[in-house]
Amino acid sequence: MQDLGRTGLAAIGISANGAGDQNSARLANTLVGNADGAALIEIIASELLLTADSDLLIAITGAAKTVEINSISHNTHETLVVLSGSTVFIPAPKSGQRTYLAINGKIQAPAILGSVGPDSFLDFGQRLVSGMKHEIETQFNAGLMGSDFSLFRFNFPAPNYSSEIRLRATVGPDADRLKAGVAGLAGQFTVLPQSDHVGMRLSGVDIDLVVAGEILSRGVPIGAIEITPSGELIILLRGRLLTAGYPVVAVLTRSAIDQASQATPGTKISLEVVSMEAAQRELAEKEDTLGKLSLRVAQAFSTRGWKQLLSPDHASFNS
Amino acid sequence: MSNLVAEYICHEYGDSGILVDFTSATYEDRWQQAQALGDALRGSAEPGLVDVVSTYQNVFVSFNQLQASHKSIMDVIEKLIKSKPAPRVATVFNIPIAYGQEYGPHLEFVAQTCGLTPKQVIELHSGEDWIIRFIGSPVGAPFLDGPKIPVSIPRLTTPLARMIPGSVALSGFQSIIYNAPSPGGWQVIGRTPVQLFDLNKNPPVPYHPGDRIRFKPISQREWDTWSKPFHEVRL
Repeated sequence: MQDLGRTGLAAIGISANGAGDQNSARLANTLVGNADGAALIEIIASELLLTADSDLLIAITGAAKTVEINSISHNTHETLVVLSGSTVFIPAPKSGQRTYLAINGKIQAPAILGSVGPDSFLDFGQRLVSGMKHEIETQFNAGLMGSDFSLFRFNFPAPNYSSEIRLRATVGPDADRLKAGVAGLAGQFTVLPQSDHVGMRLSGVDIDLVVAGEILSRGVPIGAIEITPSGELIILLRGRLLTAGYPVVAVLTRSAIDQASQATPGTKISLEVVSMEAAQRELAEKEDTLGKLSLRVAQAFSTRGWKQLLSPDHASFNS
Repeated sequence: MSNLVAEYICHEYGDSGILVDFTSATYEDRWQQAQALGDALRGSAEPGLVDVVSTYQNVFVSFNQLQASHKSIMDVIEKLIKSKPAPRVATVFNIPIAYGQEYGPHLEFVAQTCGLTPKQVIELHSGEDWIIRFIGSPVGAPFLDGPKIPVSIPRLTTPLARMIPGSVALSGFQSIIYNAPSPGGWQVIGRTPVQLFDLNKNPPVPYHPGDRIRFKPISQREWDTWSKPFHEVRL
C-alpha cells in the first residue's frame, strides 16, 4: 500500500518515503480521476492477481507493459474498466521493477502521519498477502458506462526501462572534492544487490577524492550522490536518512530519481551531469505532460457523464 | 547569540533544494544561526516550501519547483536570516546506557583511536552533559555535542545496513542515538534500552534542540529493568 509519502516532518526526523517512482504513481491516480496523492498499490518486482467484488475503474502504470482482465490482455497506462467478478492479473515486469495500480475512489488503509506508505524505521506499512481483502469506496459502477465502450484511449506513452540507463544529475556542493571534478563520475556503474528504497549502492569505478575527510552531518536531498570513504558511490532514495556526512558530489534530477527507483540490481548506470536550467526544463516538461493528460482525462470523464468520479483534488483542477 | 550578522553561503542542492552553509567565526554561532533560520522557515507560510532540515551549521531547504525557485527561496532566506531564536529553557534527560561488548561493538576501536582505555572512553562519554544540536533521522534521533573527545572519530568505512535500535554511536566529535533499525555509518559504543519516540504523542519526542542528555552507565544486569518506553519512565 503506497502513496506519495510524508513530507514536512524533518523536524522530528521523519523521511519522505512514498512511491519510488513518483511520476508513475501520480500518473496512475490521474488516469482514474483520483488526487495525485491517493493511496494506491505499488507492486515491486512481482506479479499480482486480484478479484474484483464490484465494478472498478483502474489504471496500471510503471514497469508492467500489459495487464490481463479476465485473461484478455490490455495495455497498461490506460484507464480500464473491471466488472464485478473479474480477475485482474498484473504480470511481473520484464524490465523495471515498480508497477502502480490505482483504483478510482478511496482504498481503505490505515495511515500514520498522513501517509499509508511504508516506513521501515517506523516499522510501518501494509504488505499485500494472498487472501487479503481491501475495501474500496468508489462511485463507479457498470450502470455509469451506458455503452459498450469500456475503454478510453489516452495513448500516453509507456516508459521504457532498460538494463543500461543514463541518469541526469546536477553538480553537488562537494563536487570540488573529486580529483577530476564531476568528470570523475564518467564511466559505467552497476547497481549492487544491497540496494533498497533507502539507497542504491553502485560499484564499478574507483572514485578519487582530493579530500576524503568527514563532513559534519547535514540534510541530504533524495537523489544525492554520495561517496563513502572506501570510494563507493551511493545514491540516496526516498527512504534515506535525512542527514549524512559523506561528500555529495551531484544530485539526481527529480525525473532521474524516478528512473533510478526502477533500476534492478545489475542495471548498468552512467551519470550525465546537466545544467540546473536543463534539469528544471525537464521537470517543467514532465509536469506539463502530466497536467495536459489530467485535462484530457477530466474532459473524457465529463463527456461520458462521469464527472462525479473526479476527485476535487484531481490534477486537472490545478492545470 | 552573538550580535554578529550571520555569514553564510547558499549552494544549489539538486533541482529543488538549497543548502545553506553558515560560515560565522564560532561553531556555537553557526549552530544557533542554523537553528534560528530553520525555526523561522518552518514558521513562515512561504508557498512552495516543502521541508527544512537544520543541523550543526547547515540548513537544507527543499521546495516545490512549481511554486518556488532557487532564487525565491534564497530571497526568503536572506530576509529571515536576521531573525533571533526564541529563548528556550533547557531540560536535562538522563539516558541509561550499557557500554561495550554486544551493546557497543566499536568501543575498542574508539578507545584505540583516542589512545584511551575503553573505561576512560565510558567515563568521558558519561561524565558530562551532551547538548542536543538537532533532531534527525531515524525518527527523532538526537544529534549531540558534548565532552571533548581527543581525536575526531572516523565513520565506518562501509556503513552498517541495520543499526540495532537504541545504539549510541560516535563520529567526529559528535554522538547520536539511533532510535530505529536504520542504516548507519557511526561507531557504536553502547546501547540504551529506552525507546525515545512515541508516535502516539505530539510531538513524538519529548526533547528539543538545545536540551541536554546525560548518559548513565548501566550494567548488563540492569538492562532488563529498563523495558518501558521513555515517556513512561521517570528519569
